[in-house]
Amino acid sequence: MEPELSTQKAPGALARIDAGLARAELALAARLTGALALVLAAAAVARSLGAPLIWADEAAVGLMCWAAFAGASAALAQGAHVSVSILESKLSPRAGWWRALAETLILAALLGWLASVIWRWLDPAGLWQAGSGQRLAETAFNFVWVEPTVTLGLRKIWLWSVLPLFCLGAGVHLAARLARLAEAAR
Amino acid sequence: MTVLALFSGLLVLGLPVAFAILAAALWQIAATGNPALFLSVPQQLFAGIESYGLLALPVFILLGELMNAAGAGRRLLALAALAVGPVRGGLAQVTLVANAMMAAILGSSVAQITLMSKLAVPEMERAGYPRDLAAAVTAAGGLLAPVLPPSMLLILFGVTAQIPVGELFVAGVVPGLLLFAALAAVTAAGARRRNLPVARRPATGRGRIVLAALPSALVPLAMIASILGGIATAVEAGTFGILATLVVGFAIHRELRVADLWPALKSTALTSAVILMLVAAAGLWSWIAAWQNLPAQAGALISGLTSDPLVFMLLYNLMLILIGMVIDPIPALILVVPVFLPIATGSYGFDPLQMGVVTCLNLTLGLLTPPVGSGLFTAARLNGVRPERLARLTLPYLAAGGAVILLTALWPAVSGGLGRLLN
Amino acid sequence: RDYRLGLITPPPHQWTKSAEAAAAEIAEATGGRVNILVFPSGQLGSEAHVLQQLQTGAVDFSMMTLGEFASRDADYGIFHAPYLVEDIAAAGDLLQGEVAAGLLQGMSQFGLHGLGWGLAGMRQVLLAAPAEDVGALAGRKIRTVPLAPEMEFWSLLGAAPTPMPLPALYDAFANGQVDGMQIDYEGSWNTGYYTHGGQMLASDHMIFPMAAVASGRSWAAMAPEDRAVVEEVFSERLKDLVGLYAGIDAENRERIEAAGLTVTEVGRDWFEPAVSAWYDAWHEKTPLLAELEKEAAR
Ligand code: NA
Ligand code: NA
Repeated sequence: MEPELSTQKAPGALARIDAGLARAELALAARLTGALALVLAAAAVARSLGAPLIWADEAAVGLMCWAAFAGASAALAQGAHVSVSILESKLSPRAGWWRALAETLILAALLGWLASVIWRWLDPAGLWQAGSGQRLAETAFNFVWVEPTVTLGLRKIWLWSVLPLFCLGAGVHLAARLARLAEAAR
Repeated sequence: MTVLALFSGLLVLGLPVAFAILAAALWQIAATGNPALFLSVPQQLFAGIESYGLLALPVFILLGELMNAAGAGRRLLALAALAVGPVRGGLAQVTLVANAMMAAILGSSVAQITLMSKLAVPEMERAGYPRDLAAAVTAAGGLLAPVLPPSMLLILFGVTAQIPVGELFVAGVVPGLLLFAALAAVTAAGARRRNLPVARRPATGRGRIVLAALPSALVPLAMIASILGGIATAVEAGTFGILATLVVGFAIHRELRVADLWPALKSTALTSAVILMLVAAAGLWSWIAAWQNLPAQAGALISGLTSDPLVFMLLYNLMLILIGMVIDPIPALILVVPVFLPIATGSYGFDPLQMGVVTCLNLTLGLLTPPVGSGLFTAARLNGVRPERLARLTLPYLAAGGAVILLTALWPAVSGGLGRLLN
Repeated sequence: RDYRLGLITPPPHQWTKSAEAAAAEIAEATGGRVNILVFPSGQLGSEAHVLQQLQTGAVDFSMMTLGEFASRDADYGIFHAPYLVEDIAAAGDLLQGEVAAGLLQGMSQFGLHGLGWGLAGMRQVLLAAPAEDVGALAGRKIRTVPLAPEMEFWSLLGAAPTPMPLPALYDAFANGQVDGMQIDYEGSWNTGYYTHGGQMLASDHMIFPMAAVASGRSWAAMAPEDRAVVEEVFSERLKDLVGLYAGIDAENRERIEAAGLTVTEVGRDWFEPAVSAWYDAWHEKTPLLAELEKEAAR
C-alpha cells in the first residue's frame, strides 16, 4: 500500500479525472454489491415459496464479477491492493521513488499486454467489417459477441464488457500515478 | 522456473500480488508458444471468479461490517467470553470456539475469516491483544471451515472421486476435532509466551451481559434456522443475517444509523474486489497449469519414484504443500484429485476416504501459506497487518495443522474409525 | 502432437473411461500423431468454458451434455422429450438416426465438428418424501439442469424446477432446499444422494444424450487420414458406451434397492396430462420434434 502516493495530489485535470473515476467505480461496485445481496435474499425467499427465481444465481454472480473488476480498478487508484512491502520498508526516499516508478511502469506494461489480448479477443475491427456478431461468428469463428447467458436472456458480452472497462480505468489510474511520480521528482 | 523467478521478483518489488500472479500467468501462456491460448485468456480470467461459492465473500464481509456497526458483534463476543471464563488468552480461545461453531454451519474459510476479522479482532484489540496476533488467531480459525463438515471442499472431493459425500463428512469429523485441539494448544502456548491478558471478570453482572446479547443472538439464529429449515444456502443465509442485523441494529440496539450503510457497502466492495482480483488471476494461472498437464507429469514423477505406499503418501503430501503455496484449495483440488486419486487407490491401495480428508486438510493450509493464499491476504487486508508479518505469526498454526495431517495420513483409523463405529 | 479433450465427468465415470479408451486407441492407430490428453472433472473448466476453448482452438475435443447447445438452438432440446423412447437400447438407435445425424452436422454453427452421440443413464426421480400420486409433486422443488425442455416438464407437473450447480446439490437435498432431483441411478448411487431420499420413482422418463465433438479449428488443421481414424474410433467407442448403459442402470438400481430405498415403477400415464402438454408446447417451438417422434416410432 502506498498512502504517501495516493494522498498526494497529481497535477491538474488528470488528478481530478483519476479521483472522480475512482469514486465512480467504487460507488458502482458498492451498488452492485448491495444489489447482489438483495438478489440472493429474494432467491431464497422465492424458492421457499415454491417459485424459484431461476436467473438469480447467474445474476448474483454477474453482479459480483462486475463489482470485482470495477472495484479492482478503484483499488489501483487508492493503492488498496495487497502487496508485499519487504523492499519498500527498507528503502531510502530516493530509492523508494525509483521502486514506485518501476512498479508503475511494469503495471502499465502488464495492463497494456492484457488490453491487447482483450482487443484481439473482441476483434472490434472484424466486427465492424462483418457487420454483426452473428456474421463474425460465421466468418471468423469468433463467438464472443453471440455467446448467450444460461438464464438471464442476455448476451454474455454484457457481463464480459467489464474487462475492457477495467483496462481503461486502470490505465487512467496508472497515468495519474506516473504524473504524481513526475511531480515528486521535480 | 523462469516464471517462478519472475513472479518472486515482482512480489519483492512490491507489485500488488494479484498483478504479479497475472504477469506470471501471461508469461507462462506466452511460453507455450501457442497464440490460440491468448484468445481464451479474457474468458478464463473472468471465469476465475464466476462461481456461486465466491458470493460468500461480499455477503459475509458486508455482514461483518454491519454487525460491527450495529454493536451486535461486541455483545455476542462478550457473551461468548462469559462461557470461557478467566483463562490467559481467553478471548483468543473464544474466537476459535466461535470459528468451530461457524465451521459446523458454513463451508467457506474466507467467509469465516472476513466475519471474525470484523467481529473478534477489534474486541481482542480492545482487551489489550496485539492486533497482528489477533489477526493470526482469526486466520487460523478459518482453517476449520473446510475440515469440519459441511464442507465445500469435501463435497467437491466426493463428486470428483464419486464416493458418498456423507461418508466423507463422517471421516472428516475426528481430524477436524484434532485440528481444533491443535489450534487451541498453539493459542494457549502463544498466550503464555506473549503474556496475553487474562479475560477479566466482567464489570456488569452476568445476567446483564446475557440480556444485552439476546437480541444480537437473533443474527446467528436467523442464519442457522434458515439453513437447517431448508430455506437458504449458506451464502443466502448470510443475507438473512444481514437483514436480522439491520432489524436488530435499527430497532433494538439503535446503534446503527442510515449513514452507516453506504460506507459499509463501499468498504465491502473494495475489500471483495481486492480479494476477487487475486482469485481471478490465480484462476488464470491454475488454468494454464492444467492445460500444460502439469499435474499428470507430477503424478508420473512421484509414482515412478517409489512403490512403497508410505513414501508415496509423504511425497504426495509434500507436493500438496508446494501446490497449496501457489494455488487455492478449490482449484488445486480440481487439478490434483483426478490425477492422483486413481494412483493412490489403484497402485498403492489407499482408502479414498482417507485420501479425501488428507487432501482437503493439506490444501486448506494453503489458504494461509504465502505467496498465494486468499485467507492470508483476506486477513491481512481486513486487519491492516502486513502479509509477511501475518505469515510469520500463522506459522505455528500451520505446523500444528501439519501434525494433524501426518497423523491422518499415517494412521487410517483417524479418518476411518468413526465411520466403522457408526456402521 | 498433443491434443486436449476436456470433460466434466470424474475419472470413475463411464464417459471418462470411454474417452480414455478412445484416446489410447487413436494414439496407437496414428502412431502417436494424434495423442489426446484427457482432462476429466472439469480440469479445463465447466462445459460453457470448454465450449469457448473449443471455439478458440485452445481445447481440441470434448464430450458434453446438450445444455450449452440447447441454450443456443431449441432444436438441441428435443432429445429431452419425456417418454420419447422406452429404454437405453431404443435411445441408442434414435441417436444413430437421421435427425441425430443432422444435429451433429449442425454443430458447425457453434464452431464444432460433431463426432458422434453417446448418453448417460435414463432419468429417474429421487424424492425426499414419497409421492402417492403425481398430484403430490405439486409445489415441490425439483433440482434440474437449467435446460428449457427439462424445466418445462417440471413446471407442467406443477412442481418448481430448481436449477442448481451439482456441487451444491448434496447439501441442498440434505437440508431440504430442494425436495427432489431428476437424476440417473449411477449419479444417485455414486455421490450418495439416495441416502437422503425417501423414494425413488423408477420413471425412465427421459434420455440424457452426450455429444462427442472436436474443435472446428483443430479439426480443419488435422490430416485427412488422422481425421478418419478419429471418426472411426470415436464412433466405435460411443457405440460401446451406449451398449454399457443398460447394465450400468440395472446395477445401480439394484444397489439402491438393496440399500433399502423404496423404488416405485411409474410410467407415462402416471405423469399425464403433463407429458402431452409438453409435446403440444414443443411442437410449436421446433418442427424437428415431430420428425424425431416419427423416427422413434419406427
Ligand atoms: Na464446515
Ligand atoms: Na498458499
